[in-house]
Amino acid sequence: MAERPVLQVRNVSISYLARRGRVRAVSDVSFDLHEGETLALIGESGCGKSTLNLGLIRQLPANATIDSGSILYTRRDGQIVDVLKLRPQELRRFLWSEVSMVFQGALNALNPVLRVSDVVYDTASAHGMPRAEAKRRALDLFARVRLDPERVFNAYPHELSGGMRQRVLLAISLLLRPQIVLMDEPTTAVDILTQRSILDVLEKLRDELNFSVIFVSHDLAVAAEIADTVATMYAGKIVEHGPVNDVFYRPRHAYTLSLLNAAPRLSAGAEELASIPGSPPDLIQPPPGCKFHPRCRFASDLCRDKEPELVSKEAGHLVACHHSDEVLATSREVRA
Amino acid sequence: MGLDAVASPTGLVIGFVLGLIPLLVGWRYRQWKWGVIGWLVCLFSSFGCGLIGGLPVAVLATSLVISYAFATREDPYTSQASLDEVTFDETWQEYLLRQMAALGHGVRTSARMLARNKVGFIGFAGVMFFVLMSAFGPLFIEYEGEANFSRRQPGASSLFQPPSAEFPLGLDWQGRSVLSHIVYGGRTLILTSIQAGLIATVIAVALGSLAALLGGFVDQAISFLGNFVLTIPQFPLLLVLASLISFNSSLGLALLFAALNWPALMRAVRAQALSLRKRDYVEAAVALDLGLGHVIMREVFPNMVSYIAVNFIFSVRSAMYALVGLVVLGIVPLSEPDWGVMIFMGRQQGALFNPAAASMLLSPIIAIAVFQLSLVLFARSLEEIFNPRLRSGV
Amino acid sequence: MSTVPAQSPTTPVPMAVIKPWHTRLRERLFGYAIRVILQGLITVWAVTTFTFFLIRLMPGNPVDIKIDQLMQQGIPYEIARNQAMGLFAFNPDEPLPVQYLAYLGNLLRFDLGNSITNPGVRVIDQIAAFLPWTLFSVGSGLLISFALGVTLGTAMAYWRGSVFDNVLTAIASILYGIPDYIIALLLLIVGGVQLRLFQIGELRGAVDPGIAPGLTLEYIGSVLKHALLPVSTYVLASVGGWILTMKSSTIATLGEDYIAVAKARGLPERRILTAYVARNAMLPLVTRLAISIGFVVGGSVIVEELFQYPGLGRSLLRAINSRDYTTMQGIFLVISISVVVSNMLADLMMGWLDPRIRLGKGHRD
Repeated sequence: MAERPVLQVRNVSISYLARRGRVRAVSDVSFDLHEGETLALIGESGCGKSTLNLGLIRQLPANATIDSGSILYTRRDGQIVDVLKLRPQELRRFLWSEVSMVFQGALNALNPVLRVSDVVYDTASAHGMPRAEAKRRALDLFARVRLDPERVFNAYPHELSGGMRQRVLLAISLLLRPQIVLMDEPTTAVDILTQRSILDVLEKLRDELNFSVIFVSHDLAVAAEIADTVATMYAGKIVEHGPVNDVFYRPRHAYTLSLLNAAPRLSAGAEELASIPGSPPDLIQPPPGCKFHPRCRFASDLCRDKEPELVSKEAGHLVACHHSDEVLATSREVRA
Repeated sequence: MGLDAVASPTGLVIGFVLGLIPLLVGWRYRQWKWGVIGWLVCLFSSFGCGLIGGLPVAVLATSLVISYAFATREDPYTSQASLDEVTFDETWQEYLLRQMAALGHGVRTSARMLARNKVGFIGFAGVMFFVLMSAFGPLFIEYEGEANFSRRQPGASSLFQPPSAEFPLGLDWQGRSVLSHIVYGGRTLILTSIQAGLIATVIAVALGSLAALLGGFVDQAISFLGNFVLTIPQFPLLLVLASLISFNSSLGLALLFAALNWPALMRAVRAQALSLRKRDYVEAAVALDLGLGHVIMREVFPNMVSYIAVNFIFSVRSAMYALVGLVVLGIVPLSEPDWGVMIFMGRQQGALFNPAAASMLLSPIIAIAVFQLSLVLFARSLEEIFNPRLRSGV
Repeated sequence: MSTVPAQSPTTPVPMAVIKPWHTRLRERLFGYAIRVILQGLITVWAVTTFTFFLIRLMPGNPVDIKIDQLMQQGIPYEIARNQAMGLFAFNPDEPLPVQYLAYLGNLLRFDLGNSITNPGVRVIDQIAAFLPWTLFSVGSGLLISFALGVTLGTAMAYWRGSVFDNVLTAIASILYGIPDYIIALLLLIVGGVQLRLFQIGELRGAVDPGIAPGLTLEYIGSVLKHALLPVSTYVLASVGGWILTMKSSTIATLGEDYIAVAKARGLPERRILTAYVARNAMLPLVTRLAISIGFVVGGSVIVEELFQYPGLGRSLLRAINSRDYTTMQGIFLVISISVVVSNMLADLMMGWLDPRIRLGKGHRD
């Protein structure tokens, strides 16, 4: 993982308009993504991670807006692009060739009346790549993701299984050699054995082609396996961000700790499952202070009054919690 | 008695008696306000339409009363009762009460949504306008059945007259007030269309449910019959049959129409019933060993009611289209007053070419157009109400 | 869920055997097509049988009525009876099954009998004279309203919520609700009489009398002039439905995931609108179109009568009014069979257009 930041996100806030009011889906998020780094965005459903992902490439639904912040992308030649200021034509060229996205591989991610080859040619012609080269690259990528290249190339989406579709989507996302690949729950919709093969394929591709990944998931195990850094999100904010081993072995935020505790361990006996009491906050009228404090066992009056900032506690390990030291101490006890 | 007693004292009596049902239920459950309102509404509608108006209104009013009564009851399924305390056994009285409450609740929700949905409200208002006009118009306007030669203008070649202050819709070919014909002319049409739609819906629901639930040979036979009837072009067949069979009552026409119209809804009901059979909550009910009767009455049927209501309105609309068509072509024996007959006679008497006679043709045309349009708008907004996915907006 | 056997990370994952595309196409198309055609043939047989009994079971034996008519003209009974039987191409004294077989036999030879009210005129010739006009008028109406509906509906869905959308939705809803013959009457009254846009008397029939048929400008011009009113009626009556259906179908398609993916791939808007949105949104409409084609032959009896347009619908009405049973039967049969045939073609076309139908329930999990 090199030091050059490929993506610099600063104070990004995204909200969308619902009937009841304005939903603050993402609040004041900042982070850097380095060349070759795999960042896992972890959180519950509705914490804003998918919204953030879509916002990075400006593919939000019509009723959502990026209210503030900046997203700076550095191209391979060093030129810096302000993503939020791109004009429509420029954005179209930027999409897929610099940053691509792998959606969940449900049947609906691929146009049912078009073959996979049509999808490839479409993408290629939209970015000025000749068909022959597109086909060559596609077949190469299909082989790398362990699909039979010729047959998949000519198939219709409904002739492929869920796992195969996911791998096709993965391969197509690399067609134009982007620097960053965004992934939205890529292993959620498939069974565990297919999950395994998709992860293997992803790791291999990453090593061979050297791209950065932002991996959105709620699955801690998957994140632990392939991520370099982990960021946990809660109620639209990043509450902890650091190298994967640091965050998982020495968590400093109560939410991260609770997530880790909630995951049942093979070595443990038939103990009661620990869950996090309460439910996620209302993002239209969020609680004051730290958004997690109603569900946090370390909470104090300070947590209710003042919202904690994301500060660096160790090298590269940031956390937004007033009681991060206590959390760390507790986690050490638990792991002991 | 029920069909012809329009705006008559008999209707008042019927309404008084029928209205006692919601009133007494309201008294029993201490919902005084709604009990009295229910009674008044029954009175009003029976006065206007006799038994056919009073009965459904009585049922709906009672269900409204019960739904308000139920709002205060504790529902065992959502209270803190533990699973052992809850039994799924219910007496038939309790079951009836619960279904009535659900019906009333549905009526209230629909009314609320209708008020918000402007287009649907316009449709509903349009339909109500014509229904009320047909029911209560006779109280205010005399029917002019006899030719009135005394009204011929000096120097005019015919009895036609354009609209004027004295005759707001002008005079027809026999010097009669067009307005009176419009007010009286809708009744038979609307009633026959409703009859036809009702019969078609009943047949479709019965056959569709049978086909879906019994399966096998019954299903195949009914489906084949339905597909066959659907293939035959409806209006030409209606033409042929209506011309060859003489009808002395409108019921015969309604039956004929229903016999040709049922397959469309039958297919939908069958598909819906089949899919509901496989739905999770039905499978859950079956797994909980709640019995097939329970499954049908409590899980399958309530989901189809909205669907059936919408299709019923479309059936009424098709029936009216066919009926007016048959009359305008002169296939069906003509009896005045009738909007379709006005169009037929108008064409025959050359009203098409006489500027003074425009009103005689335009009035029924516009009445039919507006009524059909209202039906369609109302039905489509009902679709949106019952199927939230169709609603636009956030 | 598919069960993938555990294996080393380097071997390719086995897939279901996917045969080359031309083999698949042949296999499935054959199976599916055969089924569709067989069903169609059975329905055609059912329809012809139904028509047979329809006429036979009518009150008042048409043959006897004809015999009475002829006898009133002074023709002796025996000869009248023979003539009547010849007209009907059936012998009422013969047992029903024999009659039925004779009827079927005649059908296969395209013999629909002779007209009762116009003796000597074959029914099939009558139909041939009037059918083209119905096909022309109703067919053009259908095609025009479909094209208009599809384009406007897509545009409205794309610019959803705009003034353009709201106004057109209102207009479409109104047009959809009004019956077609009411529109025809309104056109006649308002256009012809009140505004005097055209002379109604002049526009009867399909073409001005006295002009020789041919591809001359004069003839074509006259044909178009006479077809204007009926075609406008058909378009106005049905365009509302097409617009609203296309709009809702497009809105549903726009919400699909693959549209979001297509946008994220940086595809140009035009490509997304055509290959991704329109092609998928149109699928349900194409079925409706194919089925509507079947009902073209039946045309609209009322509209043709109102405009005095010489189509098949109006001929049916005339046959009914004059109790011309053979013509009635013949026209009814032609209308019904064309509906069946076009439904068959609709099913076949759907199979060809939507690979999911043609290739069967093929997805693996």
